Amino acid sequence: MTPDQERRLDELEAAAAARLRALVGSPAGTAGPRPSGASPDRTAAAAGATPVTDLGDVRATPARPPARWARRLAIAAAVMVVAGGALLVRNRDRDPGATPADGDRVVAEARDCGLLTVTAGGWNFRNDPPHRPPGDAIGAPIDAEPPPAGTGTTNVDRPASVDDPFAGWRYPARWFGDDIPGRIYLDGPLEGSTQGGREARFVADDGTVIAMSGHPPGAEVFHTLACAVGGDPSSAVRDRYAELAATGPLPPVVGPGDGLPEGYRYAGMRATGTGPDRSVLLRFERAARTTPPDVGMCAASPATVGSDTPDDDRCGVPEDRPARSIVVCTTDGDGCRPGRGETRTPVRVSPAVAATTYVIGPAADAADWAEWAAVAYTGDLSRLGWSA
Amino acid sequence: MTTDPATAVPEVSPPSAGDFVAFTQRVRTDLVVIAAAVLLDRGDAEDVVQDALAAAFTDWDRIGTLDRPDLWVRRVTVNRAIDLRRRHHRFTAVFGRLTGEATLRAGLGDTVSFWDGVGRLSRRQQEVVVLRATGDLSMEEIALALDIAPGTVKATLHAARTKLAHLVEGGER
Repeated sequence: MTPDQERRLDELEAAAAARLRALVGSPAGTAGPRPSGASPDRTAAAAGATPVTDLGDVRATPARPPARWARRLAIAAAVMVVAGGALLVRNRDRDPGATPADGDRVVAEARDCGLLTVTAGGWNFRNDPPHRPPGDAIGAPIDAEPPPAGTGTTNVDRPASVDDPFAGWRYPARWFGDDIPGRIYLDGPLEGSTQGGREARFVADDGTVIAMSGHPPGAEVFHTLACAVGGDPSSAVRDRYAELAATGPLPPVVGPGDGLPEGYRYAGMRATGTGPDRSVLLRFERAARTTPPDVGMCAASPATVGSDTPDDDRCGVPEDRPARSIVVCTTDGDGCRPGRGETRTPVRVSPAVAATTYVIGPAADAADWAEWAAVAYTGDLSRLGWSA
Repeated sequence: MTTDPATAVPEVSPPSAGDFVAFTQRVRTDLVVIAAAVLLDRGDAEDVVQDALAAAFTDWDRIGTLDRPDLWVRRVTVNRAIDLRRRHHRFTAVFGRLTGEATLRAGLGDTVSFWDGVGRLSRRQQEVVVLRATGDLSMEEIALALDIAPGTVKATLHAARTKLAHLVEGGER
C-alpha cells in the first residue's frame, strides 16, 4: 500500500466512521442522548416515579423474529424487575387501523381497570405529534389538542417526519397519574398490523409490577420472560412451573365460552424473593368449564379496540377491584376488532392479581400460552390479599 | 482454614443490576455503531446489540467484574453482527435486500464503500477493523477484546488495510 493509498484509506475510514456514528449514534432509535425536555426519566422523576430505564426498541417485524423480540422484552423486564425501576420499551410500529378514539378509550379503560400503565400500541392518542400528515395510514384526523398542562408531551427523542410521523413519541409518565412509582411503557403494537395487529398491552400495578403482552409467539414470550426473571434460562421452565402449586386461595377462573376451546383454570402461584426482587409466578392449566362467581364474561377487554360494547370493554372486572384481573385473549375468538380479520377474546378474568396480562393469539395455541400466560411481579402480595 | 493475608483476594462486591443498567446506558451507542458498521441496518444493529447485552446480563455476575466489560460486549456485538450479516446475505441473495438497509446506505453516501469493503475481509480482519474504526480502540484494547496478542492485531490490521485499499479503490474505478 502506498502512502497515498494509506492516506486516502485513513480519510475514508474516518469519514465512514463519523458518518455512521452520526446516523446511528444519534438518538433516533434507542441510543444516544435525549434532547432536553420531558424525557421519560425526567417525566417520571417529576411524577415522583422511579426513573425509567430505556433499554431500547422492541420491535417484532417480519424481519425481526419474534424470538428476538421476546429476548428483548425479557431482558428488559428482568432488568427492570431486579433493578426495581421502571422500564421503557418502545416500539415504533403503529397500527394503521386505529383512531384517536381508540387510543383514548384504551387509556381510559385501562385506568378504570386500575392499570397504571398501558401502551400506546398503535393508537393515535391525542398527543400524537400534531404534524402527522393527514390522511396517512392511521386513517384518522389529527387531534392536535395538547395534553393537559404539566403532563409532559414532548417525549420525543427524534423528530417525527412524514416517513415516520410517530418517531420517538410515547406517553408521558404523568399521563397515568402522579402516584405511580414505576411503570412500563410499551409504545406501539408489539407486532405490526401487517402481521395481524397484536397490540402491546400492559400492565402494572404499583410500579414494581410488570406485565406484558403477547402475540402469536406468546408462549415464547412469557417463557422467555419467566426464564429471564427467574434466572432459569433452561428449557426446564415448564417443569418448574409444574411445581407452582397453588398457595393461597385460588381465584375463580374462567371458563370457556369465551374463546378457548377448553377451559383453563388458574393453577396457582409461587412468590419468591423480596422487595423489588419479588416475583410472582402464576400458572394456568386446563380446567373444566367454570363460571367465575364474581366476574363477568368478557367479550372484550380493556385492551379491546373497536368494540361497541362498552360494558364488555370493562372485561367483566368488578369495579370494586379493578386492578385485579388476568385476561387471556385469543385472536380467533369473538371479541375485539370485528371485521378486521383479527379478533381477540379475553378468556380469563381472575380478580385476585394486581396485574393484567393479555395473551393474544390464535385460540388453538392458547393452551400453550396459558401455560405460561401470566407472569406478574409485586413486592407486596399482602396488598393483593394473597400470601406466598 | 485461614487465609494468608498476602495472597488473599480482595473481596469484590458482585455487580448489581443497577451496574448493568448503567453499563448499558454507557456503551449502548457504541455498540449500535459497531453493529451498524457490519450490518448497515439500524434495526438489525439494535437487535444485535440487544442480544449482546442480553448475553452480558445473563452472565453479569462474571462479565460485570471484568476490568473492561465493554470490550467483552464489543467483541460479542461485532461477532454477532458478522454472523447475522452472513445469514442475511444468504437470504438477500434470493429475495433482495431487506427493508431498511437502504436507508442507512443512503445516509452513508460515498463512505459506504468503506464498510462494503470491510464486509469482504476475513472475519478476524473485520473484527479488528470495525473495532478500531468505530470504537477508537487502541491496539492493546483490541487485543484484549479479541483475546489475541497486540502483535497479531497489528499484523491483521495491516493486512486488512492493504486489502481494503484495493477493494475500495477498485470499487471507485
